Amino acid sequence: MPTGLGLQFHYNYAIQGMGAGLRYEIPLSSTMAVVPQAKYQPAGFNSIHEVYAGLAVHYSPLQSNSAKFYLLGAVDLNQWFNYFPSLNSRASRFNVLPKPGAGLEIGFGSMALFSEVKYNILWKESYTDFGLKFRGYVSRKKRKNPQLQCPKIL
Amino acid sequence: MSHEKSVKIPSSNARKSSKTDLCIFMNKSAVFLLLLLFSVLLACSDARLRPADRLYDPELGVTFTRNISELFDDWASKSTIKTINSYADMPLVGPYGSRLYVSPRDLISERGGSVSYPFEIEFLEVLTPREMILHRAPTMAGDRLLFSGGEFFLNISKNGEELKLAEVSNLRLEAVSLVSGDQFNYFQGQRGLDGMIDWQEGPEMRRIGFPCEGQIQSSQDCWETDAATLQQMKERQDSLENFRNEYLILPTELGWINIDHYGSFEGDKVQISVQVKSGIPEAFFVFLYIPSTNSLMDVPFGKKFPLPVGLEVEIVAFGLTVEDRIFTGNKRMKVENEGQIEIEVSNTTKEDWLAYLDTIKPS
Repeated sequence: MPTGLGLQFHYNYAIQGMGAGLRYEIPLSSTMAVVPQAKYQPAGFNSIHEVYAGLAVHYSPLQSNSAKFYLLGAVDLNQWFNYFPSLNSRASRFNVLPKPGAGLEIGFGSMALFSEVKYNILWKESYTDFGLKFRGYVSRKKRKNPQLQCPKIL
Repeated sequence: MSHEKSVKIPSSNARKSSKTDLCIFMNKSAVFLLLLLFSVLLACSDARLRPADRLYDPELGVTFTRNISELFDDWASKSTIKTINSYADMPLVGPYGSRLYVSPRDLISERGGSVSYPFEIEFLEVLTPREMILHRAPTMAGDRLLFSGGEFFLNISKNGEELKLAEVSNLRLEAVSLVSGDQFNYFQGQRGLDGMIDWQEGPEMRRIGFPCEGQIQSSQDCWETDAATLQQMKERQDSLENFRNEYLILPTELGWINIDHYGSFEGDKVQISVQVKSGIPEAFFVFLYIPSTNSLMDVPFGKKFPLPVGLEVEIVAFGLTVEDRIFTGNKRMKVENEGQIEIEVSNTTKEDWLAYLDTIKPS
């Protein structure tokens, strides 16, 4: 099962914020994966300047050779840099955010395009994450070619 | 041949069937995602973009509001407003002595049309810490501190319609500054969601200058001016009581203008934060003023920031209740140790607080 390093972009519909980040997908079984990820929403063109880091669990009930549909549950730590007390009384400078959602991934060769919809239950904010994932094997065991037998020198 | 056909046909069908399955799968997934997106968009809330209007303090038993803009605007100095009927009405002179020159050729309407006399100018000089606080205009560019020479607001309208600067504009502001010694750049400001003005460096650094030997000097070079203009500027400087320096600004946009530069301090720094002693510290507005650089920071609740050891600062906290009672606190101190600086607050009057603000001055 290949791991995947992804470059992602996100759009937060509620606050009209956008940013970018990285994710790393570690498969646990043919249908399950954990995905640590971090994303940054810069100041300037965004009203809210913040960073997220967290972990998602993906479950893929439907998959073909080149595509998969997955449900996800994520917990993100958030730091809101330009925090101010807002009408959202649950938001503070540091936050823990639960986010369920679903996603679609379409692979081609060693790469895959992905798109996810997530919902922040605590703040009632929804996001689309999308990006490109590079798939590969990190396990030494997997990469080793069993056909290749090196000659013994002595 | 017949054997080949019997092999190929099922193989082609299998590929088609596989592709069809994939299409159906992807269509179903995409439809599901779109439905999900649609439903979560319906449940979306933009509450984080809107400042809180009521915050209850269980210790003081009062409800604070963060809506201070109307009150502060009422307490702040007012803009100079003048109708300009011809160039003979120029310059428009502010209370501190800054002078503004503008003609209809420098202006265009919102839709790009030409402008004629008369038009109306609104001009404001924000030069003291008191006015910087009351106008919610800290000298910050994002998270970067600015050392400031002064802030100005400039708006021009005709028949109630706001005008813009033409692409080639000779609008000129001879801006008085109460601080001296620094080469400043030109910054433009926008009010953010938290009500504070945030500054961004303007496109034309060289458009700032001050009079020097027979020339007008910019931050990068000098250019010639006629002797009469220079003499006029010198005479006016001598006549101004508070004058420390003067800068020539050719703005590229109307609105908030700042003559600043990015600030950095030498020496060892410590991380500090400010805590207002209240049941709801986030209800308070906290400003930190640095007299040596004429810099004003707004300090959001819980935020840590670095300052050099030995720096003299003045911390000002302000809270407003929904019944228009005000709670304030302040501390004048030298930065020594890392950690939290606590500010006591108490009920006070508008007159006492404004009188206190007048005591804060650049050094």
